[in-house]
Amino acid sequence: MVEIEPTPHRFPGGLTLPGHKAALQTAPIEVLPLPDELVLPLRQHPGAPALPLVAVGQRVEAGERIAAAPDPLTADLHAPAEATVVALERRALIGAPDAQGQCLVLACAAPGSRGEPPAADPGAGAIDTPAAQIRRRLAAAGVAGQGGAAFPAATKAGVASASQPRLLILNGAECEPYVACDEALLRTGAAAVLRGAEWLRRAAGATAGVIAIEADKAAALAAMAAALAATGWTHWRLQRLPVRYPAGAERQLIQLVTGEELGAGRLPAEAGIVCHNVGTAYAAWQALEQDRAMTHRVVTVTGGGVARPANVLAPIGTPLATLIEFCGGYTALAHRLIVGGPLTGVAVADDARPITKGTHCVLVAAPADLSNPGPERACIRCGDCVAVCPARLLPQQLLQAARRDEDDELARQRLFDCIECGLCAHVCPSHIPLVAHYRRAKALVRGRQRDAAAAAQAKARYEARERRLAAEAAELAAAREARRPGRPAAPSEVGQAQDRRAAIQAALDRARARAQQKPADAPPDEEPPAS
Amino acid sequence: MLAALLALGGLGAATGGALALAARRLPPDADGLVRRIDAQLPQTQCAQCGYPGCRPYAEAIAAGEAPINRCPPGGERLVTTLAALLDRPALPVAGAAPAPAQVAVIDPERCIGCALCLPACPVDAIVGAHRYLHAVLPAVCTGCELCLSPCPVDCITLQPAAAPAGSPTADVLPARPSATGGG
Ligand code: SF4
Ligand code: SF4
Ligand code: SF4
Ligand code: SF4
Repeated sequence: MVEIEPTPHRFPGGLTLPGHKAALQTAPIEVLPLPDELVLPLRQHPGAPALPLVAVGQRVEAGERIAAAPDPLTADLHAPAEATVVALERRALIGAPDAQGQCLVLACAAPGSRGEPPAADPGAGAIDTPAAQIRRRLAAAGVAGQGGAAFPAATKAGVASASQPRLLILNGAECEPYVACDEALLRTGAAAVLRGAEWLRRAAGATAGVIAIEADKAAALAAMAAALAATGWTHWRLQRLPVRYPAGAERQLIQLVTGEELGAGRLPAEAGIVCHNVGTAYAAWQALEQDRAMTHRVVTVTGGGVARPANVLAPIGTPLATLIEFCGGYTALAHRLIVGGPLTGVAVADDARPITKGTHCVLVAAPADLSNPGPERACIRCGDCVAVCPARLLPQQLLQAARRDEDDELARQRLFDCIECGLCAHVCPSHIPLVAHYRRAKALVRGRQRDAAAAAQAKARYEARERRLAAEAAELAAAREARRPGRPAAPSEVGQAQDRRAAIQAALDRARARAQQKPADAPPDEEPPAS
Repeated sequence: MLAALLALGGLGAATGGALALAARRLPPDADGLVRRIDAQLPQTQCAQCGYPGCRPYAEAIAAGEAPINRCPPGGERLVTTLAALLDRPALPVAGAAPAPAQVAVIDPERCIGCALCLPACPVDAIVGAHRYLHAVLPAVCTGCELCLSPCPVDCITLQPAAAPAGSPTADVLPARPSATGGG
């Protein structure tokens, strides 16, 4: 049997929160019947929107590539099922109330049919494909991070491999309350997840691997221990993490596993570490051993506002309404629709919006499910937020800076070190939505940085044009000067002028000769200029 | 070769002359001041301030010839910054309110390839040649609108600029009710 090591390390701040997921910790993964319509946003990744490869009216096969990534920060999109492309249009997306984006809309050929449940047999073949080839296949299958940001897995592995990482951490912490989709995959498909993680380890060239799971997920820990024992792999270890939010945030996870606190601005790759989410590992296994693109994912649909909470295997592009309906619909308590967990999620205005590769949880919150509800009051400087902040920030100072929106002060308070864990807002006795202020401030600062870059570019181009115009004017003036009568010409200029005159004369002669050869009724060589 | 040398010489003479002129018109350290003012201007190069670009407007401000509130794209934020930089009173912005980011788009069905818009663009954002279809480089266009009026067939329109990659919208709702929010 494989030993489950408890980690000796801790991270600053953090809090042990009630999980609110007991029922989902034993339930199986349910398979959503295929919806009538799937809406696939072209922008699901950090990079530029994917470029559609299909036309409206076209029939597509299940797993067919329907949009191509224009850059390494975006992954290809594939059709989750056999369908007809019925539209390429702007649709409302998860995010702010007015968030919109281009989407491919698919009408499924066989709505109501059930896709396959997660495969039972994970296979046992050797995993010895060259890393570059694994990365190509990950990219071709559109595999992207399922933990939220949907960063393309192939790119992450490629970047990491350049620094020859020592460790791949499989992130099975799933520390946020209510969310239970990774745990469901670990319980029911640990062997496949482990093989997927091994593919990802090879793709990144990491020498060893650690599977890190929070201590309150006993079934997941046991399943993974059994899977690991069955493989006999000695380069993998299984670690039990303390139940302390946000243990699954990348920097905190790295600190728990290795004891190393990444300083501000230091990337995991620089410390020789690459982290992948459990769902991503499962998708990698499907891509490499089942030849299936990442078209589905497991989503936790939960909260007091939905009748029958469940972990649902659903196609990417499923509208939120379809998921909620599958889970018995809304209850009378339904109060607010949140995509993501209660601390890090975003509230959405309506349920017509589709899930993406990064959507791990749909929380139909009853009033009691909300993190720290209540009317906002003034900050009383209690310091509770400082005590819980895992990034060692001063959230109340950061709040003042965010309200004033001054770049210098925001930088001093290290705005961009905030990992948006939401703990400060969760504990604030004045019910201040601190993290919402930080998100807004980050968006404003990024906007200003973009504007500054655009202004610098415009300035450079404007000045280059001024120089060009000045040069052209100077040239013209010099030519005019040279032609001025009465000015004694330098001998070289005389020669030049004679040469030029001779050249012009020769061209004129040629033209005349051509005109004489041509029959009189031939159309003119050139139409008159447009202006 | 010789022609190029002559042209370069001419350019040197021209800029030298311009610098000499500027030096005469402006107080000492003016060049540094102009640069500091220009660094604050939005560089849209739209000429709405009445000068043929941001740098000329910066020079006019430095020379004390222009008020600091003539740049609509810069808006109130710019006036506040300039007021602090120059120790002058802040004035309300003259002209239109700053518009959201936009880019020019040439309708390929209607462009006749006349090339009249090419010299109008202050940042060389339009590519094309006589009797060939023209196009605007969206990553370079500042949305200054200067190319609109020269077009004889009105085929250039301004459209909202695409949101840059990976940018969240500025107003992300708090994931819970606040005193002002609903629910
Ligand atoms: S949201 Fe940011 S400031 Fe608040 S506790 Fe988390 S890391 Fe600290
Ligand atoms: S927890 Fe709230 S009230 Fe207390 S110091 Fe932080 S922001 Fe202020
Ligand atoms: S109005 Fe502003 S942006 Fe436009 S040219 Fe003048 S200074 Fe530049
Ligand atoms: S393309 Fe038109 S709107 Fe854009 S910068 Fe050039 S002139 Fe201005």
